[in-house]
Amino acid sequence: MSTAATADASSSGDTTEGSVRLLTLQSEDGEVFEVKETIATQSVTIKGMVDDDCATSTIPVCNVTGRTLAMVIEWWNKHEIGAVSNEKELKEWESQFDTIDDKSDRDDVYDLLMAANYLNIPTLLDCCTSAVAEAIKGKSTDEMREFFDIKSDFDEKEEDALRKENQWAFEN
Amino acid sequence: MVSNKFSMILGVVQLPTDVLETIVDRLSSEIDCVRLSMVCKSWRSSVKKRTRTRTRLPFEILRLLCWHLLRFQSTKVFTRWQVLCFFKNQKFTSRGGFLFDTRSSDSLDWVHYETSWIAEKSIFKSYLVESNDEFLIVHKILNDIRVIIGDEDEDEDEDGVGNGNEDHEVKAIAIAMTMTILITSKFQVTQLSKFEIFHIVDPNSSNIHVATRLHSLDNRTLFVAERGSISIPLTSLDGLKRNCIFFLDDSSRHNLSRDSGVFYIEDGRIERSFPFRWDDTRIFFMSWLFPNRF
Repeated sequence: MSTAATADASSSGDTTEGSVRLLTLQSEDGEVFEVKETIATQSVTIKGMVDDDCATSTIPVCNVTGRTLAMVIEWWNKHEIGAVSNEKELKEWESQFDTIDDKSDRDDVYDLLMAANYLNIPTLLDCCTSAVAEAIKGKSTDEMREFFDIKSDFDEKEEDALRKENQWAFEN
Repeated sequence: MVSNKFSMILGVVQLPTDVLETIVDRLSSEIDCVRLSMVCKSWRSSVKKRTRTRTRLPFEILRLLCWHLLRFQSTKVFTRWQVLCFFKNQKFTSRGGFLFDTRSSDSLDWVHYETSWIAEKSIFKSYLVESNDEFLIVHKILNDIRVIIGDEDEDEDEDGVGNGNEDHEVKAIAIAMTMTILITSKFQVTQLSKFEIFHIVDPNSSNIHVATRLHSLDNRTLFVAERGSISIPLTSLDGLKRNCIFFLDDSSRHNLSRDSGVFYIEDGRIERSFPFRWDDTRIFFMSWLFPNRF
């Protein structure tokens, strides 16, 4: 996925050289991607840098790994205006992000969430938060804790009180 | 040991608060929100903050029981609703209200003050009282004592309190613009069970939609009645106990008890002024009169 995204970005860069500027993004783990400015500005954060003329050298994308950044670039390519003519096809491609079946999906969605949040990409953030909401729908509190791997920091008394207060949500 | 990336590191949840809040916005069920709010302490405050202003209800509304309007400050209208609703395979009554600005009738500010569930068999009335520049909603919760079989057909207006008993056939017909409920042979007698007081937090603010439960009126005393309620500070009431509600039996329908007296907020004690009785031959009205105040 990583190579495809990079090749796609640079090849389209060749054809429109001169009119479309290429931005260089560097992931946390040092991987470098060249992306068309028109595509990368789907990120509100990057758009801000471009508008402020701060995007002249390599842009470090902290907290985002090369693997995740490649997924983000793929997302940008698919969502560039005019890139996908068929709306249905796009929805189908997007649907791969809709379901969180196992741990690796969960980690991918987490990485994408953090990247979408950091880079401020509304469409991607929307898709990933919906996927998480869908995944926890109908789960009990304990199942949610397991899903997020979060341990309760309520003591026994507090937990009992909360359960009592919200009893209607715990009856089947 | 870490099983996935959402997990806590050194007891700190890694997911940013704004991302969590966006996830909360995507949850369509109030039950999911409540369950999510109990995952851990930091999430509890985020989820609560996010869901506080919601208008979504965790139940299905079966029937609107009553609908009252109160206009205040010339451009604002406060309306209360009381509904019969279906939740978890049971019928309940629930209540709430909303505030809207008559200048922009399409934007409704909800004041959702539902806090507890009342089983279908008990009913309640609510009163709006201005008290010390605050806006109070007083719920009078009634016990349904008995249903008497009458022999006349009676028309009721849309405020159809008292049609909750399934043993009796209730027919609903629409006449002209008004919904009229035709009830065959039934009377209902009720008796005060308790009062609950809610305080609308700043009705002028556009972003606060919450009413909080008051457990004390401090030095005030309320006189409530359908035909006008009033809040009086203790200093002007020598000899009366503070922090209580004087109530009248002011049901305007077939409720023929004489259930009037004083309710003490502190301990929920009720002192009735008249012996309780019911009578199916007369309808009477009572209201408070304050000759020195107006």
